[in-house]
Amino acid sequence: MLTRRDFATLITGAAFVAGAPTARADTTGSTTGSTLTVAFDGASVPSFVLDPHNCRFAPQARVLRSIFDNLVVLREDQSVGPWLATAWEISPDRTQYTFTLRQDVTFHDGTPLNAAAVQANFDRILNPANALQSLSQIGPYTGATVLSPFQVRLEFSAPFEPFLHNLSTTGLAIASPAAVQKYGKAFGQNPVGTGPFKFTSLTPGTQIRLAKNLAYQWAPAGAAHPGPALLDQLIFADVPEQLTRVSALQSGQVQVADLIPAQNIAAFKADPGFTFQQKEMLDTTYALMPNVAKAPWNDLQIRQALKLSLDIDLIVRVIYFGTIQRAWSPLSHQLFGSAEQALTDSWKPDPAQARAILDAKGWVPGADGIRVKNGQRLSLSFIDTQGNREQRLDVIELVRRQLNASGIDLVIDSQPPGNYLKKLADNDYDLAAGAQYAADPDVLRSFFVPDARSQMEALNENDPVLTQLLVAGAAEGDSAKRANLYVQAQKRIIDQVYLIPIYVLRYNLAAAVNVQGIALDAHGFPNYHGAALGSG
Amino acid sequence: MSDTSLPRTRALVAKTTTTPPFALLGSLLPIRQLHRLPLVLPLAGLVVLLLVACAIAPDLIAPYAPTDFDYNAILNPPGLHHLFGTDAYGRDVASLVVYGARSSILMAAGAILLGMTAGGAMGLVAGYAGGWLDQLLMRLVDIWISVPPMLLALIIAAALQGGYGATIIAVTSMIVPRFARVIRAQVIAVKARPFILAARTLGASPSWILLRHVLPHTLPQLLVLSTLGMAEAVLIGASLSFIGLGVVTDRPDWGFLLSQGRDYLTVAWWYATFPGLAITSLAVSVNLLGDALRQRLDGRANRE
Amino acid sequence: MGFVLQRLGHALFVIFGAVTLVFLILYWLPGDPALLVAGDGASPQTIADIRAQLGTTRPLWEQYGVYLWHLAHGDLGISFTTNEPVLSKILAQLPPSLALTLSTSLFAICVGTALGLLAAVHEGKTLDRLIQTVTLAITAMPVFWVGMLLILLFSVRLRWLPALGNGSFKQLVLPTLALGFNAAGQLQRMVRGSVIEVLHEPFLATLRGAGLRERAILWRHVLRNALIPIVTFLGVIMGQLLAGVVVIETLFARQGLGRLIVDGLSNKDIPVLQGVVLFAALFYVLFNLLIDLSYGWIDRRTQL
Repeated sequence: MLTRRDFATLITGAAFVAGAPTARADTTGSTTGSTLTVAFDGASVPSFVLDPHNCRFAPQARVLRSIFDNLVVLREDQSVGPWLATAWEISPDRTQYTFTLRQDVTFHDGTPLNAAAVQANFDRILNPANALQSLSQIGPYTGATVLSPFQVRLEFSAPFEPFLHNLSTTGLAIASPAAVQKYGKAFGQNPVGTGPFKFTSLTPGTQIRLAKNLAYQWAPAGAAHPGPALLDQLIFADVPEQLTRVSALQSGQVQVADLIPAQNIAAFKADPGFTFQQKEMLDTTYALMPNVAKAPWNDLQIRQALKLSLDIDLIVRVIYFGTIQRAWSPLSHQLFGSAEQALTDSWKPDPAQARAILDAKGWVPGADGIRVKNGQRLSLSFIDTQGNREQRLDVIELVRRQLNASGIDLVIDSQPPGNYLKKLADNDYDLAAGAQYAADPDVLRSFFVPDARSQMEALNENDPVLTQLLVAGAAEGDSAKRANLYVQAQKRIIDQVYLIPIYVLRYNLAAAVNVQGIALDAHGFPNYHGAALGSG
Repeated sequence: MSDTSLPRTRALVAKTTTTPPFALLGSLLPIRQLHRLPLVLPLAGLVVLLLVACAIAPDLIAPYAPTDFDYNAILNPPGLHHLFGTDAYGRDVASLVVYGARSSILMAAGAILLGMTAGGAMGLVAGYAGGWLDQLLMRLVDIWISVPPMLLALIIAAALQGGYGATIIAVTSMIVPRFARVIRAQVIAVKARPFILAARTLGASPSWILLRHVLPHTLPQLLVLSTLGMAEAVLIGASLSFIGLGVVTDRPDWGFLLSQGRDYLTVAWWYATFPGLAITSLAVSVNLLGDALRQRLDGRANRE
Repeated sequence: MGFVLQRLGHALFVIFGAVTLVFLILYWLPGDPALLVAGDGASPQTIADIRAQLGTTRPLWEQYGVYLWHLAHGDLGISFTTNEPVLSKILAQLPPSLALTLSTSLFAICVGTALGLLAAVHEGKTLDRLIQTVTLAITAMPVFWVGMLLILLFSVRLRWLPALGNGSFKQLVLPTLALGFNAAGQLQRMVRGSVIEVLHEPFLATLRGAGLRERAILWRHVLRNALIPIVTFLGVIMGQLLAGVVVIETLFARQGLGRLIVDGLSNKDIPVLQGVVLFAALFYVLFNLLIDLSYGWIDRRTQL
């Protein structure tokens, strides 16, 4: 398939590829200088909402990373370091955070970054009338006090330990208060931050254009360099079709494509014309979530029968050709407090045991092999909204097959997002699945603790033991103790079969070989600040 | 003709029989010489027969079951063991295509049947009754047709929450107004014939005349429309699958297979190609047959 | 003039009807947009407030009344998901869809007419059969499949043309071909049919007898008759293309109305969907009105 490129590279060396981007730039209509075009998987969400505080989808957060900065940066070891804030102090009762800000930072619209700007950001998120996605990220935040032009104190009604981790995510990035004021609800189409690239324009559903922020001097420690981005322009083209995304990169129309499907990875790795990189994301692992509030899945033993029917190693190996790992715990293993190590090999598939459980519970195989009890078929309605993104429906297909062998049926109920959420809210499903990007194990609270429960999450179980562990985790100041609380919580989640983890998402991208310096940060998000088009 | 709103158009269109007064089906008109060639019609008939046989008894034809996953033969190219290769689960693509015939043909046939019944009834009533009822029904058809058919199908499929039944209804929605228009025109033509007048003067009830005399004369038209509509129904079903609103099911379906296979096109061309060829061969064959049928009927009408 | 007014009135009525019809269907679209608009940590109270603000909990007739009232004032509403006025959202997406529709029509008219004439003149000969076979096959392939194959051939293998985006002429080529092959195939058959019909007309023999050269006859008289199917075809194809763009825009990651529809359906963004349907119906009806009026003009020109 790639013989032409191989041939050309062989004959002319890298020079051929290096010269190409400028020549190709006209296809996307760009003007001058070095322009990098990234074909990204926008997850079929054509409405770009580039408001960091109201961002629902990871693909858009990947774009936000280039436009916005945060007060703190997450390091590879999951500790946080200074960024827009040079230092911070936490009060002894752990309810007040005092941040000292850099004094040389301005937003793209010229507004200076200062204590009042930070205060305005958090108050915006707090205001329920704004109904912003990031509200769950600030926990019991009550308000801020401006201590001096560059010192601000954020106040909480109770200790909230996830805060610093959350503060490193794009969800709590700092936006220009003047622009928020100016654009109001349309801020998501006119984002203004302090990041290495400033927003220039967007074409709904297809393209987001960014340009170098010449004033940029405040990249965090660990960045390739502190100053302005090396690229003049950065274009994100939303290409949800896998075939088109891969084709556009192979044909040289774009220089970077992300979320390369498993079946194409080997080809990109083998091709000297491209580089390929990937990194495990910080998130809750992609997991099946039985509806524990609905019979018969409210019965732990039946849930165990579900789990024991599944050979997850096999599923992940078959679908992803060994390009990603199976997951054992609810949290991806690089995330602070993940129980991945403790849970590895904690159970084995045992279809015979699963059948024995179901027999004992009075579910007997019917004519078609599916078990029946009191006239009810043992069938799972699997609710889905994303289609076959990341081959997830292929995973479900194999899950169905393995469940069938135990006499359990599975029917896929594909719904648009609006109806998906409604069905979750109405408890009208048997099995859901998903992964949730997060920088702190506190994300589990939004799954399992009733009054913190997010509408995106399916679990409606009220488990006092688990609730206690997670609430304690959110308030525990000692890092080791805190991690231990979450390990216990994850063990309980697995024991109770609230989740059946399947795989850990790896974010990946392939780039033309002359593209250098794209970094995948500690969250697993691409960072284009140090990216450049090489000269050969 | 009782329809006064389009006098000039009608007259003009009537002049050239190859230019139909209604959308889409006109495009599927005469392939005159092609089906007169020897072997072409028998071949088309054979393809349709074969595919229908697949739909009725796939288990007798397919070498494997659609549930035979072979994890050691994932994305294998076509060969001796797997004539059309294997898919991402190691299933035999040839068997999937055979089993897929059922879902795809049933969907198309179901939509045609529903569309024929609803549209045919509308056309019969409007054409025979005339007057305000005719006006009412035909204005409804005008409105119906003004929403781009695929757009309407998409909205309906979404409103019915997707799935097999929703796809059938969505495709039906595109067919109904066309049937209504054509059948109405036919009924108006039949109504003026002497034997209807005779029956009327003899005191037969309108419903009797409609069922006993008018309906039989519209059947050939219905048959032609249905045959030609089949091809379109299969194509639309595939498009709905592509957008993600069509059949998402454990049942193999050509459109679904084609849209699944597209992600593997650069590494396993056979995955999408064979289901695609199945769709195309069915569409080509029914078009040829429908056309031959139409010409036969036209010939007979001319002799009468 | 009265005829024109009557047709205009009819057109308005049909557009109004289309908007109402789609409003009724959309009302049954499942899902709760308020859940999407509300934040992740939103309280039930916030969600209830958003529902009230969107007006989605009001009774059907009330929502409809409000919609009509705003529509009468030229206000198409505000998008649920992005808070932008629907009108500006649509106007922003219209040009790329329009460009694709126009380029496809142009391609179809040029290629379809040429092939149709060629086939008709060589009626029954090898060339005719070849053209017939090719068009039969291409119109029986799902357009997204054709599009996929075009990407593989022209983008990945030959690297001649870009696979995605819009804005430049080059980016228009592959989507145009994907839609245009199908459209040209349909037109080819219509042109061929009507030209053959004219070629068999007795008046041509008279003209030949009068000593007119064959070529002159073909251009002056036969081709003019082909105008009718072309014009009819345009009306048909507009509706089809508006639908085809949904699929093709998704495949080629193009901006356009198709993306708005898919997005609107998944987010239950009713104002946006209503707006697109209104525009589509408006476009379709006005275009067909023009076509109806143009028949009279062509009619005069084709009279001898």
